[in-house]
Amino acid sequence: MPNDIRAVAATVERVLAAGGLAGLAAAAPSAGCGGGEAETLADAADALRLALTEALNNVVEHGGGPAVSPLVRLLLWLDGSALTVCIEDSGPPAPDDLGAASASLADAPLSEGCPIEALPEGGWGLLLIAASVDRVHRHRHQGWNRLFLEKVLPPCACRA
Amino acid sequence: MDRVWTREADVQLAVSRSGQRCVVGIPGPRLDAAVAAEFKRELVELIDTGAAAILLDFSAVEFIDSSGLGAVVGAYKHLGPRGRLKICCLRPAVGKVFTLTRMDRVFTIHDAVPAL
Repeated sequence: MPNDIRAVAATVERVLAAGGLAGLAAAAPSAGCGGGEAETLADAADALRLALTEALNNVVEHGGGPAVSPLVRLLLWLDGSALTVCIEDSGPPAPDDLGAASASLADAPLSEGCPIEALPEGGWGLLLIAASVDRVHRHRHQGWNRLFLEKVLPPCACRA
Repeated sequence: MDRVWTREADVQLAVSRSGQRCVVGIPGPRLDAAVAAEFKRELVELIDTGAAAILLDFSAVEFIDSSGLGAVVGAYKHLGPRGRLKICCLRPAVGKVFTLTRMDRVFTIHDAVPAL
């Protein structure tokens, strides 16, 4: 994908389509997909859309800037019901703060009496990724950052 | 007259204004990193021209990311404690982002368009 924030949305939708999750847009009716409290395939698509968008935003925004123009490769595979997306980029090593993201969920940087001027205007990307998928793994391999996002898809008879 | 400048993307807000009160329809379907800066700029412009009670109507927004949410918070901070910024009509996927980031505790969120 090009190193352009405007390319992120289309790239994410291509990945979702490749994973068999196309046409499950936000607010899609869940009739026939089980419904109830259980996560539907549309919910899983929404969650993956968010995680992939945040991950690719990070690559584009923190991948060294336009002068560096890192290459980005996406691979995905389905193992049983687990869909894994691997995002590889050739940018500089990513900071090692992903492990703290899920921990900070329980203790988000906000209290109800927080003054307006102290409200955060960002910094939620890793938290949202961790909350949206079942497993996150990241490592550096031969000059590439590799981020693995694994999402267990719910069983659904209407899956195309 | 042609206005020429470099911008990330057009965000055509649907603004219904009565004095200091504004209902702002966000065009959607995405409030993301591609449009966040422009969205915030337009909200700041509204605030700078006197809007002090703003209702953001998210009906058309199917997707928000942390950049889009950051733009909402940034506009709220620009408005400051003297103003009011409320939110309505969040779809489930959008509401989830507010909940996960705890911004649902910061903003008053209505299911439907309330009377201002």
